[in-house]
Amino acid sequence: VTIVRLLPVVLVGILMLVAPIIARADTLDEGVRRVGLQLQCPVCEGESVADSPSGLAGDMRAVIRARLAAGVPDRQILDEFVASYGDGILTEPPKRGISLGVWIGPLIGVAFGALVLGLLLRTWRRAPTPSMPSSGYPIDTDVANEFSRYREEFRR
Amino acid sequence: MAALGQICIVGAFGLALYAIVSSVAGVRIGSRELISSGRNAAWAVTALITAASVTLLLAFAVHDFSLRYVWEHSSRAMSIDLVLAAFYSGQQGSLLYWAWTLSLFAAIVLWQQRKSGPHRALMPYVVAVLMGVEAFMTLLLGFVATPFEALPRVPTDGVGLNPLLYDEGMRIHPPMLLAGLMSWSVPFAFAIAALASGKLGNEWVALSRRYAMVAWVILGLGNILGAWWAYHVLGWGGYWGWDPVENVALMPWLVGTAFIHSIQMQERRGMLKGWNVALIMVTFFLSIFGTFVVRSGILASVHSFALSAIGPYFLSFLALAIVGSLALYFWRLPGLRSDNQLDALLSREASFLINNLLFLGVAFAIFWGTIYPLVAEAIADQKVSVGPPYFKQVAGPLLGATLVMMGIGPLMPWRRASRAHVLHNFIFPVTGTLVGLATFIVLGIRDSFAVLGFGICLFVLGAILQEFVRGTLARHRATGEPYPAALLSLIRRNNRRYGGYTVHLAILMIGVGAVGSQVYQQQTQATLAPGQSVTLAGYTITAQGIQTNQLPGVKVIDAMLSVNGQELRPEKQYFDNFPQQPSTKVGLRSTPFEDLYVVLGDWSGDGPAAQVSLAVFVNPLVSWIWAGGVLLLLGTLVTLWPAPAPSRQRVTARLPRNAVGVAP
Repeated sequence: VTIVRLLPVVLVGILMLVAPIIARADTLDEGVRRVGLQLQCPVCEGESVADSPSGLAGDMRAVIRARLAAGVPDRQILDEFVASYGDGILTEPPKRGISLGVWIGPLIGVAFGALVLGLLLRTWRRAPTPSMPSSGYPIDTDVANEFSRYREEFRR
Repeated sequence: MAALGQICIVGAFGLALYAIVSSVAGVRIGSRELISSGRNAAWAVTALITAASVTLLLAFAVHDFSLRYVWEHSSRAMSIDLVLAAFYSGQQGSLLYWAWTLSLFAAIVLWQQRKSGPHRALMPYVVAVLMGVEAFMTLLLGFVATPFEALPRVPTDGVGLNPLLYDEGMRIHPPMLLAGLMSWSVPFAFAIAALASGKLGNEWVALSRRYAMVAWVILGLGNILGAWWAYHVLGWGGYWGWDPVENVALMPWLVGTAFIHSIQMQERRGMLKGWNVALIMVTFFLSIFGTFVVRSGILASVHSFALSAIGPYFLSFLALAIVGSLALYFWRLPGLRSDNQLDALLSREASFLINNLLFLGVAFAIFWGTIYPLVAEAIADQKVSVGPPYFKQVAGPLLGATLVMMGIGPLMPWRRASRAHVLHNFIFPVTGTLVGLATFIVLGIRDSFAVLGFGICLFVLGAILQEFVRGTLARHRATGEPYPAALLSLIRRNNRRYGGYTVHLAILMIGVGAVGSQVYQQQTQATLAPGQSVTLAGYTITAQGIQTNQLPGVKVIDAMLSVNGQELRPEKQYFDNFPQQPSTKVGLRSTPFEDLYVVLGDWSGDGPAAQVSLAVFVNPLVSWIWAGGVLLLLGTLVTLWPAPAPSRQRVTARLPRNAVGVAP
């Protein structure tokens, strides 16, 4: 019991030891790239602000750098860009408004597919399966009746 | 030349229409003459489109700038191989290339299936469907997007090729991709022929499966080559950007993958007949959609869609194809009933069904994300960007699940797996995976995504290797062949099965490369004066200024770098015709473990005193993806290789009565 009680303390201790290491590894360049990858370059097609060679993307990187250097958190920088450019500036569509649909679509699609598959498997499983290995050819009804009579006799 | 090319195209259009009518009418009224006339018309279409294509190639070769298309896409400064590659660099030329390869494939199919056999009843309809697609393409080429449009006055020189196309990757990627999209028409044609003729047995299945494998490998390689091209030319450090143009070429490949798996259910067990027809239909529709998007880039906005000249035609053709196919499908639905039922949930059949669900799920997620910006713009007039983070989060887990199924599926027997069987098959791969993962964690691979990803890869690897090992051992015991010979003849005699496993190994290598580069990419940027260096992951890169070379038509700037003492030169190329659009050549140093990837961004000053700005990436395991592409081709070839004749044949011929015998 004492070990369980001590656990949070140990965890916090580890976190306090590790936190400065994580923070130090995170240089300004990496921050600019991290934020830039989440923003769509407004004048190019399919390129992020981090990767685009365009002048506007360069200016945006400079803005990100300045804001990061001033200690502004990522989330707030992104929100500032959204405020001036709209949700379309984000490479990851936000889970709100019209963009929500893009996230829900595949969920519904896969869930629907799984449902159909599940129902299908159930009906297939319920259907009486022939105990003889089927050859793929339909069996004559007379022959089939003969077979079932033999089976009946065999059970007795 | 313009007139000659145009006449060929219009002639091909007319003959394609004739071939459809003649073939279908021939079957309906039972006239052999009409059927063979339709077949001959298809040969003539091939000849005419070939003539048109050769005409355009010649026009490029002699710099005939009286043709607008030649003028727009080539210049006198270009070397002959580039001039010929310009053939498919624009919309009209690549549509002509598509139509040309389709006509060649149609000719190959006609040649291969020329002998009489049970497939004979299908062939007139196959001709009709292929010529239907061909008629649509020649309609576009003849009347809407013609490559043979003449200019009123002949300019002295052309505009030249888009700089991105100067790369050798761009010379093989587009033709491969377009041919891959095109070639799904053939298995589709067999499916439609089966529906139309009512011959819903195994004839169309066997043929359609083989042609689908061909289409699958061509489109797969087209996609991999595209990734390779993007990797060493675009210079953003990656190989797959989830760009609409990339996505639309991936979707038919995913649904096609579902098809070549589930078609085996029909071949072996007579199940899923209707489902298979539906799958190949969807694959074909997605291929047409992909060709359209690749060639017009319409997904950027609704407005560019409305402006594109070929848009309405493509949509009409697609709508017509969908309505026609569905009508046939529902008409024949009663004949598409399964011969067999599912025996157990633990079976090969059930794992194929899950495989299908996953592949369709991924394809749908990618489709939805790709068209969603259009949907949002159309219904709410809002701009939505759907970038890589979406596709990674949605398609990533589903693709991971397909990998898992790649391990489970082959270990499941047909019909029903007993508990002992499952235990027997899974104990080694699962134990191997656990031991391997423990080793990885000890070695320092602890990222949760990497552990999961590599863990899946290990499991699949174990499952496949077990199949190879057990097969070889069994053959060694049975025939006494030494192990290497036993392995080879195992593959030779069961080429479909072990070729398939080889393809699975190739996919596995691509998966390993994707996980490694996704998780462990390192990146830095630096602006370096001569003598200064930057260090990343053990590579010390020292700048030594730049070197400028003026080549004919292009100015090349090389950054002079030394990496741990060896020379590396990333390039920027400025083409005289497109000075605003410099193209990048990445400085690449590849090993099986990782790539050093250096991009020259900018520079100031000149010569050895210049200061350079670099983007430096270290991308682990990327070369596994390209090696996987090579193995993919090999494995598919093994699968498609004609099966050997049965090993022993009884001598049935009688000896002549007076033959001289040899005493035993």
